[in-house]
Amino acid sequence: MGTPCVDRPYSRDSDEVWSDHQELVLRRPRSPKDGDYLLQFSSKFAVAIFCDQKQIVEHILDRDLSESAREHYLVDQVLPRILDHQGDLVIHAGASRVDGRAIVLLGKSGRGKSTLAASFDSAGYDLIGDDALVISSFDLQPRVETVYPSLRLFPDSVAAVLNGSPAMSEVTPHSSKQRITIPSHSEIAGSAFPIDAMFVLAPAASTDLEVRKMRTAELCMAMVENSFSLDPTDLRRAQARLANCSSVAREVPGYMISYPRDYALLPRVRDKILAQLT
Amino acid sequence: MIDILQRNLEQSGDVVESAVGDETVILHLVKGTYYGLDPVGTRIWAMLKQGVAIGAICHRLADEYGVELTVIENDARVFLNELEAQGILVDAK
Repeated sequence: MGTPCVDRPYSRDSDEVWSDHQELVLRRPRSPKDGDYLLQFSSKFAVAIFCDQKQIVEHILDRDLSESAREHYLVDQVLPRILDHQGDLVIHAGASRVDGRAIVLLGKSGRGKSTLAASFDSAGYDLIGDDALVISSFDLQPRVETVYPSLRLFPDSVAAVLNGSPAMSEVTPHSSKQRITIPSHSEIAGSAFPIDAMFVLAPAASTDLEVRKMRTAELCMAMVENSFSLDPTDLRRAQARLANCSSVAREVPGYMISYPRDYALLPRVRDKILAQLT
Repeated sequence: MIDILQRNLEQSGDVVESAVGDETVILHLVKGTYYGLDPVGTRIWAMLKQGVAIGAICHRLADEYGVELTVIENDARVFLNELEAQGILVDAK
C-alpha cells in the first residue's frame, strides 16, 4: 500500500485543517502535487492522500518507526478514513455473528469492546471484525462488514478470553496491545451481515450488569461519536454521515450496556446481550 | 449583559443536523461535538430557524403546554445558553 517516500519528498507546505489534539493532524497541502490531504501522526508518520487517483504516499518521519507501528497507522487509522471519504459509513466498533446476523459493539477506546468481541468468538459466535466496520444499506436492513479481520487486545485479555495460543504481533512499541489475526472464515470475509442490534459499552455505573434501551437519537449520536472521518470539517460529507447514522439508528435497536470490567462476568454479559435479540 | 431571550440568535454555519424521530441531532463540524435535542428542544430549534423571535416562541409554548410563561422562559434561557456555549447558536448578522 502506498509508495515509499524516497522519490516523493515530504513537503511541510500545508495548512492545518483539523486536529484531534492528541496524535493526529489533518493538513491541506498548498500544492496539488503534494496531495489533497496530508494525515500526520505526531512526528512519526504521515500519509499524503490523492483522492481522485485513489493513491496514498507514505512519509516515514521517524527513522525508528517499526513496521508494526506503520501497519497500525495504515490499517487502523488511514484506511478507515479513506473509506469514509469515498462515501462509506465506517465506525470504530466490533461485531460478532449470531445466527447469521450481526451484533455491533460500540464504545470509546478502553471500554472493552475488543475483549467482549473476543469473548463472543471464544463462545462460538464468530468475530466479524474489530476496530473498523463498514455499514451499508442504511434505509432498508443495515448491514455490517469488516474492513479487516483482526483484534487488538491487551495481553491479559488475550489470556482470559481467547482459546489456545493465537498468533500475535505487536501493534506499536508504545502500546502493550497485541494484534491477533483471526483465522478467516470464508463465509465472513467480504460478506455483509444484517445488523440485529447495536450495543454501546458504557462505564460501569455500579457493581451490577445493566442494560437499557437507547432512544433513537442517542444511538445516532453514539454512532457519530464512533465514526471515522478523513475531514471532519467537510460539510457535505458530515451531513451525509449524520444522515446515514440517523437512518441506521431508525432501523436498528440500540442498547446501552454497562458492567464492571471483570473477565468472570463476560459469560453473563454475553447472555444478557443475546437475550435482547429478536 | 443582555438577557438571551432578548437577543437575535441564529444557527451557526458550522453545524449540520439530522432529524431522528421526533428528536434532532446536531453536529458542530469545527468543534467535533454533537448535541441531541429532545422533542421540545426540536420544536424550539425549528421555530428559531424559521425566524420566530425567542419571546414569541416562549409565549407559544406556554400556551400549548399550559405552563406559566416564567417557567418556560427560565427553561428556555438554560436551553439557549447551552446551545450558545456549544457554538450551535450565534448572534444573527
